[in-house]
Amino acid sequence: MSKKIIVFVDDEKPILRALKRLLYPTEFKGFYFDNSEEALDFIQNNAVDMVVSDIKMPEMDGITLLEKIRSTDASIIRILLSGYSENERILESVNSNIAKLYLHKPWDNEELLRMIRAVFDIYSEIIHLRLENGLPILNDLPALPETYSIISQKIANQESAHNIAQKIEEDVALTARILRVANSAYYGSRTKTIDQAIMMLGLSNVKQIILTQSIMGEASRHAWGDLLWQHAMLTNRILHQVYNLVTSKKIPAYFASCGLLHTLGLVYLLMNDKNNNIYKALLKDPELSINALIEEQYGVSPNDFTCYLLEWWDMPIEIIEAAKYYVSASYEHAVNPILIKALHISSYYAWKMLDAPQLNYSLCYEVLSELELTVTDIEDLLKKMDNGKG
Amino acid sequence: MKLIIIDDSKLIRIQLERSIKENFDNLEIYQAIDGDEGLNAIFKYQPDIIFLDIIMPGLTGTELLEKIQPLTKSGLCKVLMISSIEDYGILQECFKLGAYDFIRKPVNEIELNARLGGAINSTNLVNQLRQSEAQLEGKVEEIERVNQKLVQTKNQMIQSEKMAAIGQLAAGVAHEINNPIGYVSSNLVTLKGYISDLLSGYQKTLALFEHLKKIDKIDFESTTSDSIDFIIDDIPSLFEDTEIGLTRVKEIVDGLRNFSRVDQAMEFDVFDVNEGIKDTLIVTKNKYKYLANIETNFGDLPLIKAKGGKLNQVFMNLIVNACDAIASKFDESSLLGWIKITTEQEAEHVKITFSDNGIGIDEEIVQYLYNPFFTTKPIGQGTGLGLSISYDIIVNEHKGSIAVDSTKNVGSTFVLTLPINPDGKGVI
Repeated sequence: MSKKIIVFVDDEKPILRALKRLLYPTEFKGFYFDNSEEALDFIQNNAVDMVVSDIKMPEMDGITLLEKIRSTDASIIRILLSGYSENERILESVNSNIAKLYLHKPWDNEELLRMIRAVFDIYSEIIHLRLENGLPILNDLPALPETYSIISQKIANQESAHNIAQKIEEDVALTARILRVANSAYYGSRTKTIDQAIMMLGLSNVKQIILTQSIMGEASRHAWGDLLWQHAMLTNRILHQVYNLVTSKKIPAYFASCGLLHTLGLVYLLMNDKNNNIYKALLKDPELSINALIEEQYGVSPNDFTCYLLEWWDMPIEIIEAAKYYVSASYEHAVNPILIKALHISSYYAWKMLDAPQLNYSLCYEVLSELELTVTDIEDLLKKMDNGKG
Repeated sequence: MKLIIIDDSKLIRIQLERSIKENFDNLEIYQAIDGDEGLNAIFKYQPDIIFLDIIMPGLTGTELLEKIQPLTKSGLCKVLMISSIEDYGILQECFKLGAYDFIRKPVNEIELNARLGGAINSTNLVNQLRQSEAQLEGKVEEIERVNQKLVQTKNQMIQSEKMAAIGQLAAGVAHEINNPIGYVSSNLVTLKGYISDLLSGYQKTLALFEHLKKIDKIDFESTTSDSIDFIIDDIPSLFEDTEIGLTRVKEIVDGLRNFSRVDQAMEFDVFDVNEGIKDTLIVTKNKYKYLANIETNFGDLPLIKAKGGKLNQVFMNLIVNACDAIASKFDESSLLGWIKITTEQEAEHVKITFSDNGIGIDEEIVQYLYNPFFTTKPIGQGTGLGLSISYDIIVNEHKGSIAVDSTKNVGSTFVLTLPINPDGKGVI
């Protein structure tokens, strides 16, 4: 395979030289520009796989540059590398998919390479899925739900949180759902209005809850609908606790709804089981794995399909990656290994608590020890969550 | 309105009182039978109007007039002389001494009504004037108070803005520093790789030379020397020290950036109190590191709704004050001081305690602690605004409370309580 081509843009030449040194012995080919105009010109005239850009630059800043690249060729992976930490503009550019990922200066050489490799890995997986022919259902990909599109538009237009809250409150089921998530143990809150929920959860999370509700809401008419909802909610709650236990930090807003979203492919495929083939198969043999049945019927695993849907809907890369790898918890490179491992544990225990072995997978004890956790730690945590619920 | 009739003639007193009562309402009338009793009655009743006879046994009318001059001159009371025709010579003197008017004996009712009516009107006017004056004085006082408050607020605002500007500057500097740290730390790792490659090349070359020496017995100068041995030995620690230094620079820059949180200074947002205190401790390290040991005991806290940047200012202020209190008690660098910081959740509040074993606060001055410009620090070391701004941030902006418990020469404890949700209505 030819070398992947990465374009680096930074107005400080020593940064570019440091990155050049870093890339020199690797499998990547780098091109380096100290201004956005020249970089854009090069990108428009050459096959480029990835662009890593600084934000603050004279003339055209990095976010504008990435926006232009997105409108030219959306398949080029766009990454921000900046000394500015998570301010509104960076968060918004990741949430609105102008940048796929935000990396922080100063960087760690090994980690930067690992991230770049991980991003390439996950995208080659998605492209692989896209090219695969055995997916009849892909011709009929679910469009983004209407409420979701309206809310996303409002967020992009920078309308006030209050306006957005009012739109959400028109949908009673959605309102109830968002409040339930906001009031779950992690946020430790008793939120009564969507306004407050938006403040607590952040707009990007509210957006993701809307997406989940739009898909799951349909599913609630289905035999497994309620179970899947409960699992998504429970996983998200456990995930926040586990993440907090491992990192001693609150889960970042970027991927705080990861648990809610991680089974959307499964939900969608189960809903499309119009002839109830899977249900019938299960009636014959309740021991069968639902995931295996789905893969047999559609030629795609539910996890791959989730991953594909999430990318289609422009979800942050960390969520896509976690949804892709969480069951096996094995991967070569990952942007956020902790999230994958924490999701592996959380989703497993959520199925276990809901007593749904047909949907569960086996817990990998190595994952626990890699996070320096024991089964007792998790059980204590679940007990504490149970008590906190009352 | 009060009125006193001072006359030694019972007849005149009765006649006057009766005529007055017939023609005027709302008057309290007292009588005095001579000058001495009159003087006592004046002090006792503080009348507005006095009818005063001129010739009396004991204290005469003119003598009495002289004694009450301060009252008449300031308009507090009006004296109408009761004068017979033979007293006209003295009347002139009476007016000089402060008399307001006179009536003649025997009393003519029309004249009495006219003179007394004038005196009453004049008294009313004076009273009104006096009331307006008092009101005006109140207003002036209020204006002065407001003005003083305005000056205080202005100074607090200047100080707050200064803090905000410094925060903004610090955050900007921190961001800017991340660029050079970025390539310095990246280059350091690359350089380490280069050096290790070079060293292994060098070792191989050295071995090759040794080998050639053996085979060809060529005599060449030893390529190794003491200084190169020293360099090779020193390289690992050189890298180690540089890496440690860089890590510390990164921590300081991160702390500085988090501490200032420009975006969180002006608006309420979700804030982690424990993280805020940790960031503040990084930023203030220079202040306490040779003075005090810091003990922290962070409780399991929920996120609260707060202006994070401003709360960090309060934390910094309390830490700096504790350091100053410790410095005034112990010699510098003896490190006998300690600052203990504890956080805990109490129902719907977060409680933060800052204790120190510094010099403590005098009992008499505790009440002035939050007053603007009150300071015990030497000129140039404190504005005296720190605690007043802290009070404003905690009590007015966050609806929390700040309390102090201090014992002179033992130490001080400041307790902050902050509602998890300052909008009330329980938890967020």
